[in-house]
Amino acid sequence: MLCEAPNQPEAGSAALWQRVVSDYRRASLLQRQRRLAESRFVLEQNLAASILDWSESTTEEGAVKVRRLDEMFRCELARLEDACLANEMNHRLADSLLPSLAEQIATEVRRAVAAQLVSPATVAAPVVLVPSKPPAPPPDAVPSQARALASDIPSIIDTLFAQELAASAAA
Amino acid sequence: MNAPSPLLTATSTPRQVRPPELNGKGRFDICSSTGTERAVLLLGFDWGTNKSCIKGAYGGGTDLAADLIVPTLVGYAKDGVVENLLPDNASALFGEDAIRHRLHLNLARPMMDGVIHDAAAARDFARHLRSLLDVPAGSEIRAVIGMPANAEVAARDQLREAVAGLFDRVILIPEPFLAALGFRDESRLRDRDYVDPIRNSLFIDIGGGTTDLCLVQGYFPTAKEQISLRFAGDRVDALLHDAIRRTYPDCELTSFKVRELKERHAFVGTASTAVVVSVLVNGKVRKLDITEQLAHACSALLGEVFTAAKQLIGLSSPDNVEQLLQNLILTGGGSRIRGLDTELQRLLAAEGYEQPRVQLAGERHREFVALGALKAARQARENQWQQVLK
Repeated sequence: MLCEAPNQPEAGSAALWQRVVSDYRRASLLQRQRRLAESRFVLEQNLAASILDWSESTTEEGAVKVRRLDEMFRCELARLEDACLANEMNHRLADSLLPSLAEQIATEVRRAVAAQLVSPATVAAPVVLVPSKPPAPPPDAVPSQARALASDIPSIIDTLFAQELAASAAA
Repeated sequence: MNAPSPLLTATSTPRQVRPPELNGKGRFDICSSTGTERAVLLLGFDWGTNKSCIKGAYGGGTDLAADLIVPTLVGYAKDGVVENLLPDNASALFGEDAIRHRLHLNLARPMMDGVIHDAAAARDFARHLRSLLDVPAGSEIRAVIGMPANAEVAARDQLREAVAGLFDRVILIPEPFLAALGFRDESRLRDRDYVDPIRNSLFIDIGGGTTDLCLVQGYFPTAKEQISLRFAGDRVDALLHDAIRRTYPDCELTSFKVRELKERHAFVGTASTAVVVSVLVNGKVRKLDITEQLAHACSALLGEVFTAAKQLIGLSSPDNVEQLLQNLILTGGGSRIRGLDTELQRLLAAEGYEQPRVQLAGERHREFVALGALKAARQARENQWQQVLK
């Protein structure tokens, strides 16, 4: 979602407005990172002061100032959400999806190559063991904490994969 | 990525043809990878330390396409063996053939304590089993393979490596749970008198390498609810062999003979009559009384089982324990030890447990893990099969 923070039209107070936006952004980010003490400090000390400075520098009415601030808060929060989501997706891609995809592609390529090479007249290709880590559990997989019903074999297999992945990671 | 790679679609999203319904549940029996239908043979594979069992069926079919029990043993021809002494002049023999011709073979045991011990022999053994499967060319073979409950990551990887390229896809599942699944009779689930073994029971599977205990109370057991002891048939053999050596130092018996004696005469509790066996020593018949030796070796196993069973019974809630004590099930080769059920029951009662009932899984004890594995193979999702290639 794209959302632009409203511009401050008065040139004299533009720099002060940018400070307000910057302080709020910083406070929100710190809160998101669970650095609550720092976030509170920025909110109570920096942001409060920068809002006061900006408010004194502009001639707009109080209700207009409040509306402008509310709109900026909403837009900044939305931007932060989008940024965090993108960041999380990047991490997931790098940590799990891409290696898994690469492994799957490598498996298929090796199989295709082996199929081409193997014939009664040819010498077997050098043996390469394809890594055989368990597949990543599907989105509807049972979480490792949940217990699978003894009659629900697919969920049991998901549970076993999750346990093996955890054991591999620990090893 | 808007369009998936053709390489990926080739096997990761095969076309599936649904076979007739079985017990009200649809099964996928034929998968197609490149547009042409490819038969899929599903296997339940119990790769035991001493005996291996395979049950195979095509998809949802009820008829078994493979039904094998093979001693887990490989024999490599000794250097200098006379030409044509071994069948087909083979350089390696397997299972019963290896036992029969052991005089001219170097024997190798692929498995020990329930996991792969000799990787090369395991690979050869797996290749032999694969050769016993009469599978049309182009078919895919998928196997659910049993593992001891506490098998480590390395042991799992070794097993996958041993079957890589022989079976197309595999899934590994703990053996004691597979035994419970195999013991379950789905056709009787609507029978009011039938006690569903996966609802609330303790399974005790005594194999060659491990004794696996598993508490099943409606859910897949947690790690805490499964115990794998490295005290099983092989350890009983070793204790019996030692005891016989000590008593009869001039009678050296082979490990095969000791196992044969155990399988024929093993008991716990009080012997009704003395166990006197005839063995050949230096070509002459000798009669040995091995009553005490057998009692000593088998009661050691009973003690281990008793301790582990108490540990798992202790995990059951007070509301469930009464029913659990009615469903203590002994299976595996060790369940054939005479009196094991009644002695375990007696020990538990003497310990104060309320009317425990220990029952034997019965004649098909060797098959339950493989049967359970085949059931699991039929129900596994397409994307749960792990591909292993060499």
